Parts: sequence; structure tokens; C-alpha cells
Amino acid sequence: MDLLSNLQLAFSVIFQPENLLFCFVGCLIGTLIGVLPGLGPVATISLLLPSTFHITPVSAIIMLAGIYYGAMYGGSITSILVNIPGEAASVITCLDGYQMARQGRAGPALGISAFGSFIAGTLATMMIMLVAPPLANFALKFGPPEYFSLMFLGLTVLTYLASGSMVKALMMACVGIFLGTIGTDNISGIERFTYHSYTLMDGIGLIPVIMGLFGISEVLLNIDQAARQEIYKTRIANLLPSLRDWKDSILPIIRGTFVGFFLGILPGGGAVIASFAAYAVEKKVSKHPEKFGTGAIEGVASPESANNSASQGAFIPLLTLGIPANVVMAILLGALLIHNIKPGPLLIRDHPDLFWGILGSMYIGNIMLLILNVPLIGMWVKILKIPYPILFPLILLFCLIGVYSVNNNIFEVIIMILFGIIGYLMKKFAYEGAPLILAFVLSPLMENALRQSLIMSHGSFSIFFTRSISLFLIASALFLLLMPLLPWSRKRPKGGDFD
Amino acid sequence: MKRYDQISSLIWFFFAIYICVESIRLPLGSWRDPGPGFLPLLVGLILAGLSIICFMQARMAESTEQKASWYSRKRWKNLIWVLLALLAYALVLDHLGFLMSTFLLLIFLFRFGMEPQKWFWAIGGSVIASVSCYVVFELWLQTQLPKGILGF
Amino acid sequence: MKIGIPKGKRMSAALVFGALAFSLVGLHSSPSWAAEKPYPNRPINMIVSYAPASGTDLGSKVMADKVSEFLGQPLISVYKPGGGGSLGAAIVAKAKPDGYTVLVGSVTPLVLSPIVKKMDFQLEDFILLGSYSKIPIWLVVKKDARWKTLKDFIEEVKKTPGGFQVGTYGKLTAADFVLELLNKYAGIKQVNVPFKSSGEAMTSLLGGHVEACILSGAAGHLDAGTARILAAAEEERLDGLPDVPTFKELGYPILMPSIYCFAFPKGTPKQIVDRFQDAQNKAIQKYPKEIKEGLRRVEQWAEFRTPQDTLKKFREFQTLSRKMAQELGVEAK
Repeated sequence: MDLLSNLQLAFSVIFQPENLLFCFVGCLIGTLIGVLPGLGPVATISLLLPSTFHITPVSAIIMLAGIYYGAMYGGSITSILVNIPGEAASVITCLDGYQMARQGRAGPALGISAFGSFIAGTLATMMIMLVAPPLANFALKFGPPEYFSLMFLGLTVLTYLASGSMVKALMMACVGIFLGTIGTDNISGIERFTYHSYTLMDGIGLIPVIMGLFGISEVLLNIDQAARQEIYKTRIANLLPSLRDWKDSILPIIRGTFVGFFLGILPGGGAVIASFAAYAVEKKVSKHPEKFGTGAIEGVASPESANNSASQGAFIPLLTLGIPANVVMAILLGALLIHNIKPGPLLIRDHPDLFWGILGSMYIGNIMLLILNVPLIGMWVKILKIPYPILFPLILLFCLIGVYSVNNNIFEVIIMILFGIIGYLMKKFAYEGAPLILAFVLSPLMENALRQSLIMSHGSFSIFFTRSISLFLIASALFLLLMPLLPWSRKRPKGGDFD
Repeated sequence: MKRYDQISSLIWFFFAIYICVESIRLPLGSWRDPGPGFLPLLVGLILAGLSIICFMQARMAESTEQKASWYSRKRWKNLIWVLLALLAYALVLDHLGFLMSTFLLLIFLFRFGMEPQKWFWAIGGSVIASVSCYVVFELWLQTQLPKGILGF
Repeated sequence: MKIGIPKGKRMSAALVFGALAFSLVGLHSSPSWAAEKPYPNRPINMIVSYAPASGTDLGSKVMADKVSEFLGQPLISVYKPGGGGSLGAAIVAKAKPDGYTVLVGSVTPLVLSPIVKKMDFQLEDFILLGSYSKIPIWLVVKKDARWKTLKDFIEEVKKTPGGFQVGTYGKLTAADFVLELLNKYAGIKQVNVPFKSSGEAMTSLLGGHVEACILSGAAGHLDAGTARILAAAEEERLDGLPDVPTFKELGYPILMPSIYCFAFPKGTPKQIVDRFQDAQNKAIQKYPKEIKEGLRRVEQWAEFRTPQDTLKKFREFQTLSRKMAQELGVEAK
């Protein structure tokens, strides 16, 4: 396994004109999809799947892959500009990114987001090259008990997300867990809280909730407060991150890359959880955690890097074991099958041009995406200069179409509006949305994993403690939970309430 | 904030009760074999407990801030109009079709949302925005936007 | 920005402009009161009641690729996963019967779910077309598992106190039924560990977290050699898999006709249904090898039957499932 000759193979594949073209097309579509709310990589990739029937498998996967990680670049744009997450993985970016935009620092936010994504993507590709097979085997070791412990650890991350009252954050987490139970229970097949609505039968969609809770509510808030946004009118000073910004961000980017990469490999992990976890890690190690949520650039750099490296790490189980780590990978698996490529451990051996070609395309793709995104920053920032009375109807329209385009379901539009109202009230009464979303995403996974594990162990809870990975994760979670209470811990959770 | 925290925590408390009541109707199972109702009930109980704690904290806290209203006295009407417009939009979308509904919505929002724009710009801007969205989403991206009685 | 329209006339100008723009757009999209173009005159929505890249989805895409050629319009996949496949079926049952909404139907959503859950639709609310593929439901183990035959497997399950954990893609699905029937006929205890999809279950199997799985398809691992089939719930052995026995020939009469067909809501005009069926027949006639091969690649077997025959098979299965559901006690009142 000579690394150099593999690299040579990689670049010889990607530099063929049609592969370069498909890579570019994929990245371009991906960025657009990421910017447009609602329409996500899943829908787009499955829509374009049939059109790949008649091109070579290498080109097909290169393009579809480009769409996927390209969407991670685009998703942060609307999060930063108008507090609307274009992607579930960009929710966390709203917290600090939008605040930076309100302070006239949209340019640096967008810039650090793009550069961070680039660095993360490139580093992730290098890591795939070097350690793919052993990592994939590690990922296989994650069964239901490990997932439960991982999710449990993830929920304890909540305690670091909260900027304000811990009690209120936990209340929001409970609400999030409840919202996650709505729908058909996977284990028993029984419906919960659906009242026979077909829309709710599969649960409340994530898109209407996040767009309502973050996007619509912010619009309502802005209407309510000063109509003239003086901040947007101030001359936006820098379009690119300053040296100071770089200094602050480089370590978060690195950390985010690693966190994201590992979480992306785990089947069921994914970019969403990665971005939340990376943010929490940054806040924990930061010397000024209270700045998070008010426009700390670390709060943008880290999650954005994490979601990019997660999206690339997700390729590992697919390409080395034939196991999809998330829905997008499942579709790519389908694409491979249709092109008569058998996934599994033999894929690298039987189709080295595919494997290395994809890796090569990731390098080139990230470069293309950087070139696509950075020059547009100026244009995006100008959008903020549109007077708000004119801008906000467009933002609302954007949200309405976005939600509708997911499932062609009016009811989901109404759900979004409802969550907009709820989000508005929450902001007014000082309840945070991030813990709710995290719990909403994690708890169905956690509940499933818990019940599957208990079925596996015939009802015994010891399964979580006898398996080493699971034990390690639970121990870490408990450690993180109890740490603030330890006397020698110098950081106390800030906030009005001590519990 | 003190009063608002009390009110809001009470609201959450009643919501938690609702969750508990509804989840009891589902099979609960046991600790070793949780049924579908188990987690919601647990969460409902925890939420109820937390909201009581929140309530107590609010009661015992000093009432430091002045009684600022939680909604803007001047612009609450705008908010209501915008919300009603959004809900109306969702309801007529299937009947009038995307173009018509969006056109009307945008005109309404431009005029009554915040500062009323001049009619020319309101209508003109609305036309441009709704038509371009139509072109992008319906014709180019092929997402199926609703068609109303007029057929488009 | 200065435009040379006098102030007083601005509003009228805007309205005229608006009317013009709308008419242009409206003309482009042919309002319904214009001359009716023959069916189909726009893309048709194919409702897939499972996740993207599931067996249902991939099989439908293989067919759609060829059928759309004879329809003249693309078939667009619309995903409505949920309720173990019943959500998509419910939506199509209530959809407008104008021929632009078609379900990718199979036994689980159309036959099983109305029996085991309280659904407000039935098999009779659909017009079935001829079937095109089948995805066998079978017992899957890892390639290097210690059981070489079903008999070995059953023996070991009998010896293990507490039984075995067997993964499936959900409770109250066809796989679940196979599991329970095997329990009954072989006198063993398998506990259903429900996952959200065959893919998830397969991942767990490969990781050694469950001993075996009863799945439809093998998430791509059948031909890759990483998985082995111990027995299939089929009438006879499958083409191309000479070493895989059926439950039936091993003495356990477990049959699960997991066939797939397109289905229109009841009330769809006959000429539309016929047009679609005609296109499907022509596609099969012109591309038999490509379709068979395409399906085989995604672990499905071509099964071309007439609509009448398909309906007959579904009805037979309906009677059988009612009986099974009563026996197992899972029939919804």
C-alpha cells in the first residue's frame, strides 16, 4: 500500500476532465442546496440519482459526494446572515454567527466558516487516506448499547450549551425530548401523540421546527424591536477575518475537525451531533465561555469545521465496509449497487480508482468550494444592507417555500409558524432553543438504542457497563456532569441559577 | 423577569401535566422493558418538577428589573398582522396556488409589516419576488409548488 | 432609482406589469381550463413509503428509469417513510385519483398494516398494476457465522436459554411475521430487536451485536460476500442462488410474497391506469435483460405478473395474514 502511488492514482482520476466537471457541478449544486432552506442534500442526491445511471460510477459518486459536503459550506450562510439554519447541521452556527452579523462582522463569520470548512475538509481527507480501515472497524463495534451511551454523553453536552439558567435549559431539553417522542414508536409500532395525523405519524420534522424556532422567531423579534436595524446600516468593515480572528479560530478549527471526524464515522452519529459537540467542547475549554452566544468567532469556527469533517468522515464506513453512516451514505450505497459495484471490505481492492478517485475529488472539491464561497462573501453581506422592512418579507417567503419544498405539506408550514410563535415567546421569556433542538435530535436515537439494548440484554442494565466502549462513554458523561460540582473546578457554570 | 418567570413556569407545568396524562394512556412497560409511554411520562414528570423549581426560584428572587412589557407597545399590532398573514397564506396556498398567494402575501407584508412601503414598490417588488421564486423553484428545481384554481 | 413613470400612474403601471408577468407565467404552466393534454402531461409522483435507497426505493428507480421512457414524463420519487410503510400508503389512498400520484406498493403497507394497525384504508382502496419485482425475506447471518444450515441455527437457539436476538427492520412488519412463524414452527425463541431499516439491522449484524437478522434484501452485502442466507421465505429457490434453501422445503411453511407493484388510488380513470400499465409492459418487453439485471444488482428478483394475478396474490396473502395476525394476537380491532 504505497501511499505515494495511491495519491498518484487519486489525482490521475480526479484530473480527468469529466470528473473535474462533475466535481464542480456537485460542489456548486451542494452550495446552492445548502443555502436554500429546506431542500437538503438527501432530497437532491436522491433526485439526481437516476441521472447518474448513464455515467461512470466514479463520476457519479464524485458528483453526489460533492453535493453532500458542498451543502455543509452553504448551510452556514443563511445561519449567519439571518439566523435561519439552511441545514440541521448549521443550527449551532446561528448562535454566534448571527450575533456576529448583527455586530457588523458577517464577513469574518462567513470567511472563517468557509476557511474552517476548507481546512477541516482537507484534514479529514488526509485522515481518511491514512487511517480508514482501522477506524471503520472501530465504528463497527458500536452497537445499541454504545449508541445509548454516546447519546447520553451527548445530552450531558447540553449542560455546556446553556448560557443562561440551567433549570430553564433542562426544561427545554425535556420539551425537546417530548417533541422527539411524537410519531410512530419504532420499537413497538404504536403511535404516540399523533392524534391520527398523517403529518405527525413520522414525527415532527426537524426542518419546520428549526426554521420556526430560529428563523421565524427572529423575524418576529425584529419586527417587535426597533424596526430600523442600525447595526446593519453601519459600514461593514472587514469582509474577511482579521489576524486576530485567525488566531482565535485556528485551534477551534482543529478541535472541531477531530470531533466532527470521529462522530461522522459512527453510523448514526452525523454532522448535527458533531456540530453541537464541537461547540460544547469549545465553550468548555475557552477562557471566556460567557462570550459564547454573543458573537464569539470560536462558536462559528468549530461547528463549521466539525460538520464538514463529519460529512467526509461518514464516507469511511461506506467505502471500507459497505455500511452507511447516515441517510446520504445509504443513497450512495444504492448508487454503487446500481452501478454494479459491490460494497464491502473488498471495494478498495477491487475498485481502487473509485476509492482514491473519491479521495482526490475531496481535495479538489474543497478547493473548489473555497473558491466558490469566499468571493461571494461580499455579495452575501450586501444582502444585509437591504432595509429590514423590505428584507423580512423575503426572509419569511424563503422560509415558507423552504419548508413546503421538503414534503409538499401545508401542515408543516403551519407547524413552522407555530414554532415561530413559540420561539418568539421563548426568546422573550429567556428560554434557550439550542438545548431543545439537541434533545429533539438526540432523544429518539437514545430511546431507540436504550430499548434495543434492553431487548438484547433481556432487561438487564448491566449491558451498558460490561461493554468497554459503553462503560467508557457513560463514565465520561458522568464525569462531565459532576465536574462543575467538584470543589477544585475553577469554572462555575455561569447563569442566574445555581443548582 | 420575575413575574414572567412565574407565569411561564406555570405554563410549562401545565404542559407537563398534559404530557403525563397522555402518556399514561400508552403502554408503559417497566424499567426493564420500557414501553412507548415510558419516556414521555418520565420526561413529563421531570419537566413538571423543573417548572416547580423554576417557579420557586422566581418567587424567591429579588424583583430587580422594572416591569418592562414583554411585547412592544407600539408594534404588537404589526406582529399580529404578520402572524395572521402567515397563517392565512398557509391556508389559501393550496386554493389560490403559489403565485397568487405569494403575491398577495408579499404585498401585505410590504405594506403592513413594518413601515408601509409605497404601493408601487410593494406591488412591483412582490411581482419580482414571487415570479423569480416561481421560476427558480417550480421551473428550475421542479419542486412542486401548489397550483390553485387558476391552474398555476 | 429613477424610472420614467409619472407619479400618479405608478400604481397602475405596477398592476399592469404584474398582470403581464402573471399571464406569461400562467401560459407557461398551462392552466387546467386550457385544452387537456393527454396523460401524462407533467411528472408523476412516485410515493415511496420507506427511506431513500431502501429496497422499495431502488427497485422503483430501476423500473422508473425505463417506464418513464414510454410514458414521456419522469417519475419522481417522493419519500414518505413512517409507520413501517403505512404512511405512504395512507397518503396515496387519500390522494386525488388523477394519475399523478402512484404508490410503490408492497405487501407490508397494503396488506399487513391495515390488519395490524388501525388504518383508515384497505387493500381495496387501491388499483394494483402488475408486479415487477420481489425482494425475498430471509434469515441472514454473517459470512463467518458458525451455522452452516438452518438446522444448525435452530438447534443452537433451542439450546440457548433466553433465546436469540434477531434483528429486523421493524415490529409488525413482514419480517416480524416470519420471525414469529419460525418461532412457532420450530419451537424456538427468537426475540425481535427492531431497527429502523434493513441497513441499520445489517450494520448491527456485521458488528456482532445481533446474532442473525430477518431482512428483506441484505443492504448490499449479499453479493459482496459478507453475509450469508440460511433460508428464504419463498415458494422455491431463487434464480442465481442455488445454495439457498427455502423455509418451505426445510419443513417450515413460511411464505412471504414480498412482491412490488405500482398502485393507484381507487377511482383513478381506467384509461390512465391502462396507459401506465401499457407503458410498464412495453418497458418490460423492450428491456427485459436490463431490468432483470438492474433489479438483481439491488438484490431484487424480477417478477412480472399481470394486474389480475398480482391482486390475486395480494388477496391470498391478506387471508393468510389475517389468520396469522389472529394466531399471534396482533390483529388490530
